[in-house]
Amino acid sequence: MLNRKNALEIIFKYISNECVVTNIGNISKAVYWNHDRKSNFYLTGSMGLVSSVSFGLSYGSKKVICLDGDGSLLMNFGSLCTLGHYKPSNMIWCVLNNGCYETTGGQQIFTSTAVNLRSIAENCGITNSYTIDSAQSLNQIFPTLLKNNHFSFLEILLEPSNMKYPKIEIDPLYNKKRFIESL
Amino acid sequence: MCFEKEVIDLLKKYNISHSVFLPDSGLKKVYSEIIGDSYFKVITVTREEEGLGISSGMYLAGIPNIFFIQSSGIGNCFNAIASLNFAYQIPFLIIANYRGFHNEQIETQKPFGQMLPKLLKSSNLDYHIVTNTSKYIIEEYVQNYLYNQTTGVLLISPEVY
Repeated sequence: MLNRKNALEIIFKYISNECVVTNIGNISKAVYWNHDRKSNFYLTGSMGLVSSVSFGLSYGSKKVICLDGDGSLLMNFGSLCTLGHYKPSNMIWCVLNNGCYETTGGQQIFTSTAVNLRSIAENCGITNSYTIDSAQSLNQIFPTLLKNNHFSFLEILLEPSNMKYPKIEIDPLYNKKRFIESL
Repeated sequence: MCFEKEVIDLLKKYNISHSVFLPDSGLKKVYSEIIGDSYFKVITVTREEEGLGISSGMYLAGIPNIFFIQSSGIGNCFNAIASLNFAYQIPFLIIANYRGFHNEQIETQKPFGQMLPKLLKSSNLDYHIVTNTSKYIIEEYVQNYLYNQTTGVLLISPEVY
């Protein structure tokens, strides 16, 4: 099964000048320590809002890649409805789904028991919804979604990781300043 | 001048074409005016915290916008206000229908309506309770948001509508 490290390596292999917004916790840390760039915006608070911040950003001129977690998505479930309605054509909503709150100790959540995120996304009007669980599939689909001009929801099934990262070294104000300058 | 016209005129005067809206009874005329005017892009949301995230993302993209909600929804926003807007210094301007304040009929609106000014003050959030159609105070908050990148909350008392 795919792990987060591999998934992010594949994603960032194809990213060029798009902006990337990352979810609080291990996703932000993993991206910062392995794929830092000026056009990354790391959320270190306000869990759940990465898809909303990404949607707001999509009204600018750059394509937006949202790197969300399944636990975070559950916190802002209404975002599925809002994004299913507006379908911002320059946004890809990636959900790194490992079925748990990994950052807080790996507690199991409903995405590993009862909830089918792709099915829910489709039923919220997100017609371009995909679930993948292998490096091969991700290598096939992600560059296609980058080139397309339509809103996409990409659920990436991952095995949980116990990789630990130090905290992000840049402060929020510097992150914001650097990010805005890159747009 | 009626409140909704005053708001629309101000937004156009300052070229603010985008707004995030969680529809509310007090602001329904503002909503229907904005939705019906092709000058404006309105994003209707499902919850206030979500709307604050969208407003903040738009601001990062260089798009000023106004966030219209009911005042009770500010209670759903405090974590985002602190860990997104304050932490990253992303300003917002909330125009909220103030519930639990003037002639409130719903008892359950009253506790938060009474708490809210104290919560805003203790959070160092600049706010004003608008009790008559005074264009100047709203314009001042719009100017502060645009030119000074400051955050503000306007609580619109129902007596204004």
